[in-house]
Amino acid sequence: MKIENTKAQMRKGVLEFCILSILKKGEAYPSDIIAQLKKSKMIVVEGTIYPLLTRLKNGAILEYRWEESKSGPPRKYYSLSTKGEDLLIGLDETWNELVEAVKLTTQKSSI
Amino acid sequence: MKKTVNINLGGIIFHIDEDAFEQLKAYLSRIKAHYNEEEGCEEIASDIEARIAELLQEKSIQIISTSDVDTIISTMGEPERYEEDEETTEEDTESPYTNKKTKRRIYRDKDNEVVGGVCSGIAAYFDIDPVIIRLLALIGMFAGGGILVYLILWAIIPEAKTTAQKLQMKGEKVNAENIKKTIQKEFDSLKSTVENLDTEGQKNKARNIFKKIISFFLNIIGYIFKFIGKFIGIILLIMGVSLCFMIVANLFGTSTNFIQINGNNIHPLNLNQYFPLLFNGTKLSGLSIIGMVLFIGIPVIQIIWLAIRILFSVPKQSTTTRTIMASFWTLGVIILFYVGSTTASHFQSESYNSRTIEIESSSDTLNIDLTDNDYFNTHQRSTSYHFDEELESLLTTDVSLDIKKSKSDKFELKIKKIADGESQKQAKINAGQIDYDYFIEENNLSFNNYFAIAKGEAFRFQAVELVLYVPEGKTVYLDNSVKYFTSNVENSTDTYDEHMVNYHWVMSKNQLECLDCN
Repeated sequence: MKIENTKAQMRKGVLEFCILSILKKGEAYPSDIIAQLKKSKMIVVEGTIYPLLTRLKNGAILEYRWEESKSGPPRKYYSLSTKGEDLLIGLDETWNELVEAVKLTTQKSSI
Repeated sequence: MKKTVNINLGGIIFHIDEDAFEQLKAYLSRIKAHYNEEEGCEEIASDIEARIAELLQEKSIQIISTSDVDTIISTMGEPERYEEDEETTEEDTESPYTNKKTKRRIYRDKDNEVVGGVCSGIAAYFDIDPVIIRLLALIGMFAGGGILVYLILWAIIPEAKTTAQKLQMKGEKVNAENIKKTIQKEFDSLKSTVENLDTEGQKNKARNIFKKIISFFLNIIGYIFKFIGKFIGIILLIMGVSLCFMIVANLFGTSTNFIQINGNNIHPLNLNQYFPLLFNGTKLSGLSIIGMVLFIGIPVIQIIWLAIRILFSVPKQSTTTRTIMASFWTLGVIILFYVGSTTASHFQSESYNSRTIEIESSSDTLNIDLTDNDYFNTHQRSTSYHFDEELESLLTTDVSLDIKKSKSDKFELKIKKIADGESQKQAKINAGQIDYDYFIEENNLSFNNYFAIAKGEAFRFQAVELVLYVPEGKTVYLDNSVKYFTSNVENSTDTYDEHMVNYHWVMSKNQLECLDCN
């Protein structure tokens, strides 16, 4: 039971990190984000992204604006809030530390 | 040829097959249901809707079919799969953007079980120490019906197998506070829709507002009904459990207290004490108990089941369980019918056993009275019954006395014992087993106003008819105690039986005449 949780937690954290990183490059609407995440095989089903975006938005990490689309329904363009940018900086550091730490521990254990 | 419907997905019109429409509608409502508890549920659903509209538009097909919807659903995924990608668990509830908590449900707690985990499951549901529930259960078992109730709960309440179920077992409490919270959330979502009306800039949103307001009130009514439902559930549960206790006490227990009815000491019988009186042999009485348990017990189980379902959101009974329940109940009916018809046949013939004895009396006058007894009083005519533990027999007052003219010059008493049976022969045997007593002492004739139907014998409408033959010229004195004992005694003045007592009656040529009436 704990293993399942750990895996889910790991993936969840990383998924949020990825979304924030994508949005750092500029605003995007969900289909863009989905396309990028799918390319890097971060998500399997597209539905995953929507509850996550909504939660991040409700947590004031993301903000969005509406934009009419020529070819389809109006789009929500998401971007990072100041709080989100701060969070991303923190996450970046943590990620690098984690990568280092994991590299070190896994190398040691393999010796 | 297929019927198509027009739908509006994220502001775009689509043509869609009726089947595909149903499929898509079901999928969207699954998503809504899944995020029902979560803040921003509406938003998630409409975002997903917009994405589906986009995907469908990219395909640019004329009419959307079920296979298109299948593709969409497999791309978007079932809401359960989202959780696999980013599961929310109890550890991360502090995180600001997750406030999802599972609704509490009742499960059997196998991790802390003593017998079946019923008590620990209930304790987890109410958030109290399992010891308290176990203690209550133990008291219930000694009181009688507890075991039955426990077994029913064991059968009804599912075991917590998966992690999710174990979490649900200790999930958010179902109480007034939380219902209030849910209503508040509902209201907030309504408010935010109203506020977003301008910003979202979608024309057809106005129509949605009305839909939202209606659904808001429907939801509130729903919660009120839920509350009333819980109340009904509690009443049903109390009813079911007490019925359980009653069945056990009645079918397997014994009662020892007397109650007074009409001045008689009545020993209230439990059904299991009645049965031997009604049935010949243990086979029928055993069968009748099984029949009764099934006939009454199954509905009682269903009542408790229903109550538990209302109170603790336990899943519906499977068709198999319902079929089994129904067939056991039918079996109960068949058994009772068999027992009933067999027993009825034991009443189909009536016969009697009669003998006449001479009464030696030195005097010309015979006093007639009743004996005193502990079981029945003498001032009522109706038939009473009393089961005597010491005699192990049913006592009844179905005795009457008539007075007629004797053919000889001696007092004579005819005792006619009557009973039913499955045949004439058996009825005669049953009648012969009646144990009736009277006492002759000098000029005194004392009758018992009751008789025993004999130890271990079944009740078969046994009765005793007495006829006292009085020779011409001789006298009887009727004591006050026989007021309601004599039956239709003919006399010259057509006096009612009740009014004949306390007087001397002489036998004339053909009927009794009063000697000292005024």
